[in-house]
Amino acid sequence: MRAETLKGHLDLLLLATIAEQPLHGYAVIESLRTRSGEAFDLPEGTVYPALHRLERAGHLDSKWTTANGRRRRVYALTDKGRKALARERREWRQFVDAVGSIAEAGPWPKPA
Amino acid sequence: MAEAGLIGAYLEQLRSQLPRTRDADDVISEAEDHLHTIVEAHLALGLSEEAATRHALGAFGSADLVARAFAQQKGHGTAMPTTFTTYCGLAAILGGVTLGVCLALGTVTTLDVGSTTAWFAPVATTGVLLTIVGLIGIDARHRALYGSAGRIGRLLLPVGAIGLVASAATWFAPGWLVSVAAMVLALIALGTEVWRSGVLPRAAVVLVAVGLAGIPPASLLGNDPSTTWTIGTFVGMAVFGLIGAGLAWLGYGLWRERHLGISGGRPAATA
Repeated sequence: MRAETLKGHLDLLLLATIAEQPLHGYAVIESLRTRSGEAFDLPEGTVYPALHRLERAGHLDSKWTTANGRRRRVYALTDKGRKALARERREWRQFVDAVGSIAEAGPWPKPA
Repeated sequence: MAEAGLIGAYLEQLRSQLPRTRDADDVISEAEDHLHTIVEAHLALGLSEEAATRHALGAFGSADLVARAFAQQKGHGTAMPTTFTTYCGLAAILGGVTLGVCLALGTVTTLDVGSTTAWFAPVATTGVLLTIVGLIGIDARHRALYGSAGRIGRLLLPVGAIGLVASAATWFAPGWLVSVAAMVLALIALGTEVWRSGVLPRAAVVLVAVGLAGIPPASLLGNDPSTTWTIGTFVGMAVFGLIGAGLAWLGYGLWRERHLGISGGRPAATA
């Protein structure tokens, strides 16, 4: 899938991924890739600015831990992030329903 | 350790291109952890160290791409050469040479090539305009790398310039002094940032700085039109020659970056 297609939905995907459990950046990206059947395959480094933006917006919170002697940042969803995720999910369903009702409908007007 | 060497070089390149913000160290730490985590996963699958490292770096994205994604998120602009900065570099070369030669010759009033001759005003004006374009390009190239001094300098420079014009128009001497002081401080701050970033030749920054510092003594020595050559003539020529040469050198550095292929074009898409 083209990265451009994914761009508008990245916030929803990141929030939904982190909603299940706190994750570090690589785990978030790996989870996105695996669960999408490798359809979502962004340059990994470009996901971090989006995570930082969501943190600045108060949707994510992060803590530094240590793993294998290295500093590791783990992201978790905040209450504000949960509300944002619920809103994003609602909008996504509306969008999918609306597109589906047109794209999957038969030809219009119906042939006589 | 090929792995550590390649990743270290990548992180160094990334750091040099990231916006200079307080969280730059954190970004590098995250990238480092990410890259080593992938390498470890690939090593466990049986890949060689070098193959695992190259795979990790390829999946992460080029330093240009990642730095640009961060710069776009933060609204800092880019820290990479662009077509715009390349042409600004060309303008700085032409502006530096034109202005330097023009003003240096302009100090030799007794050789009758000074400000009284017909060619001086249009050529000097062209040189000033080209130099302004060149300076805008130098600023654009470094904006994402500015620290607090650079950001203050960017605010002070237009304030000083506007104050200078307003004070000159109203003959308000204190305003003129304050405006000149603001511009000097701004130039010191911005020059320091350009020098510190190391993107353009530091010696060129020093040339411009020495030239600018020489303007007050050159003005005090003055020029005596009744004699052919005075000390003031030589100092004036040297000062403007240094400034022009420094600007042209900075412009060449900016123009050359693109031709060395330091940056790729715009990324296809970033998150």
